[in-house]
Amino acid sequence: MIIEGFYQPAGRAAREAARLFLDDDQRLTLDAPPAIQVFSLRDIEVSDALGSIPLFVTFPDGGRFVPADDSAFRRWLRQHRRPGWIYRMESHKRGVLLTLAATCVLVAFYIWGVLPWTSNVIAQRIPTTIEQNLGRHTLALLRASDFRDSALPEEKQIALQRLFQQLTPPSLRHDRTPVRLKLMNIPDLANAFMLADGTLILSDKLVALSPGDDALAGVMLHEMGHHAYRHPMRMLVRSSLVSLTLLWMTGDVSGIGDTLLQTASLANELQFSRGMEREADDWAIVEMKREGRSLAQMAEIYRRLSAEAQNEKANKYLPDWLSTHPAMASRIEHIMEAERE
Amino acid sequence: MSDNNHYNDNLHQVRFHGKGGEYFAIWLVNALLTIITLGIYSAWATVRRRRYFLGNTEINGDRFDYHAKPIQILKGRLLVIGGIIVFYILAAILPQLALLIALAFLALLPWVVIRSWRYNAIMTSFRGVRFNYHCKVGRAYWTMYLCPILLMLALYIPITAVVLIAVQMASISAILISVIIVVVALVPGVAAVQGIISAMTHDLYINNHFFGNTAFRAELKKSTFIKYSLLAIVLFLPFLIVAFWLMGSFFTTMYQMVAMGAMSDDMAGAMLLSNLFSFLMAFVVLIVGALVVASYQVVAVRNYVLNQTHIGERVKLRSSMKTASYLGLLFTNALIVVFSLGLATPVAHVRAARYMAERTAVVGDLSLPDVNAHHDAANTAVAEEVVQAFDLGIGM
Repeated sequence: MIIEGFYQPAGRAAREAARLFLDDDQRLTLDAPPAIQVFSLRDIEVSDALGSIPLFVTFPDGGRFVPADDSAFRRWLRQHRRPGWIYRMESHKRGVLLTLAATCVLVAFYIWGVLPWTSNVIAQRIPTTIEQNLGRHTLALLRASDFRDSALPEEKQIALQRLFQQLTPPSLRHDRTPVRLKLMNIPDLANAFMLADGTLILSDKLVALSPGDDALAGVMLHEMGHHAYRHPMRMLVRSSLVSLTLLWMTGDVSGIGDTLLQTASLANELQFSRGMEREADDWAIVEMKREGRSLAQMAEIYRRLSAEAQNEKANKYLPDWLSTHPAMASRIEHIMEAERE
Repeated sequence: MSDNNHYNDNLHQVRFHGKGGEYFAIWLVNALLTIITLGIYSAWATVRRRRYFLGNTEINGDRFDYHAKPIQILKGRLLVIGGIIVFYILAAILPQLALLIALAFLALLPWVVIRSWRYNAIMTSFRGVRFNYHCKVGRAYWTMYLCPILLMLALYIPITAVVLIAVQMASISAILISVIIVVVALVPGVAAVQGIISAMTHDLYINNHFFGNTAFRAELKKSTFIKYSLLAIVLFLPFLIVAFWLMGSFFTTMYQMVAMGAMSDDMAGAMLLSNLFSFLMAFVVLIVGALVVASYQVVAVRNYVLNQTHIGERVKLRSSMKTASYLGLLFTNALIVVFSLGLATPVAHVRAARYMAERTAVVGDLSLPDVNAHHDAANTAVAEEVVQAFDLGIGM
């Protein structure tokens, strides 16, 4: 078979018309004036097949031959060399469909299986120094916004600290990062949250909102539950894992496709935190029952908190699935159920 | 004989032969193998992706090619990821040291960027002859750091001085005059600084590139870049005005209500809700404005830079992009990606590559008899990976 094409001498961009004679016994004869050279298929290098990009031949001296009729050359080559399996997978419809299905399954497995498990394992093993540094930084950040020291009367503060000490179960008292209570005055915010180093922040307004000690105990235990499960750390490890994975898999974290992926992982993160709230609630319920405290008060402060959140104008316009503390009604229902048991 | 004649006046249209469906298959197999191999295959995937786009780009019957070795890319990626993990850990234990490392990294950036340009140039070939990039490190630092900083200082020190003097004088008219001076000086000032930096960066990129042993050269006028920057700002003004007008009615009613003492929390909430639509509209107007201006600038700069670019004595480039069609491409591509939940990303990539090729041509004698290969080698892909990882494309 004779294939017309262009020959390029090694190291030069110029090209000239040439011919390649292909034999059935794997011999190639290059007729590129002024010389005629004979090669065996073993000597030459054919470019990797990729899509419909035309193949070309590179000779041992670096010269190149580009066939004008790519399909004829392909046909000849296929009789002697099978293209790689990756190429075959890419060029068959069934292979592509299978690939699509497998990819979807694996991505789902990563998001719902690998990611939660790994972040939990890593979060439980983060060294104490790192936890403490993180907590200190968050606190400094909070102080830089409008978080102030508590304005509650001294006796009340001492009473709250005493309640906190009584509540702390032995398991958390002997934790490598013990929990401690920090009362703060946050304008217009009735809230409580747990930092990575076990610092529980309780806002003055939440204390004012509370119907009694048992309600505050419920809130404190809920936050302690977050610490026992290392939830703040898990969230952090998880988002780092997501960005590291994207970086490792794609080489960069920009572009529309990746933004989409990140949005998907954000939505998933919110679902994740919904699960965490439930976990912390269950932990608190067990502790409350052991201390013989009233779960009704815990449900009541949740009710008041969600009414308070309804009053905050901005929240009204956020859809339920976008909120990190969603489904308050179902959480309250859950607590009441536990009380009845 | 006109001066143009040694260009032989042959116009060679650039063609892109890639197909959305075909690339989709390649992209998908890349994704699956990357997942199965826990990311190791991503280096091979990167090479296949680049080869697909370069190998499907044709000028006068010949294709481009990409030669990077996946192993090099894998090593580069490992180093970058390792560095990031070490940095995370340090940042958690010793924040001060982490800051120091971040600063050192920042100081190395220009060097990293030119190394990656060099790597990519040497890995790309046309007709078997590789491209090349040579740049003095000092020049990169001057273009990317020193000169921009000096220009900023030259712009902001006088403006700050004017404001300070006006404040010292403490008279209303002095402050008013200073505000007018600042506004009038700021727009052309910002345009000038932007334009000069953009001109210098493109100069640094183009004028150090080679095809084989043949240099690229482009005479880039700073005044042209300043003109584009100025036009971009002027183009953005109507969008800004409309956005302000949309929000303005809300602010004036709000002001009047407060003045009449009729403002309550509930009232504010109700007003916010009733004005939610105009707020959203203002936001949309600003986004559309930013998109229009950005594509105007991309198109104007690319056309100008490419039309000024010569390769050796006999070849020059042509670019004829249009803002409207480019904007249309960006818009339809965004829709395609969003509504396919990202699955049609490869189709969008192919459409973009085809559009760019269709608007690009090469003029001149492509027998290229005097272009010879160079003998430079690029051995590590670390710089290239750093640039990829931190998205430091410097807007080329």
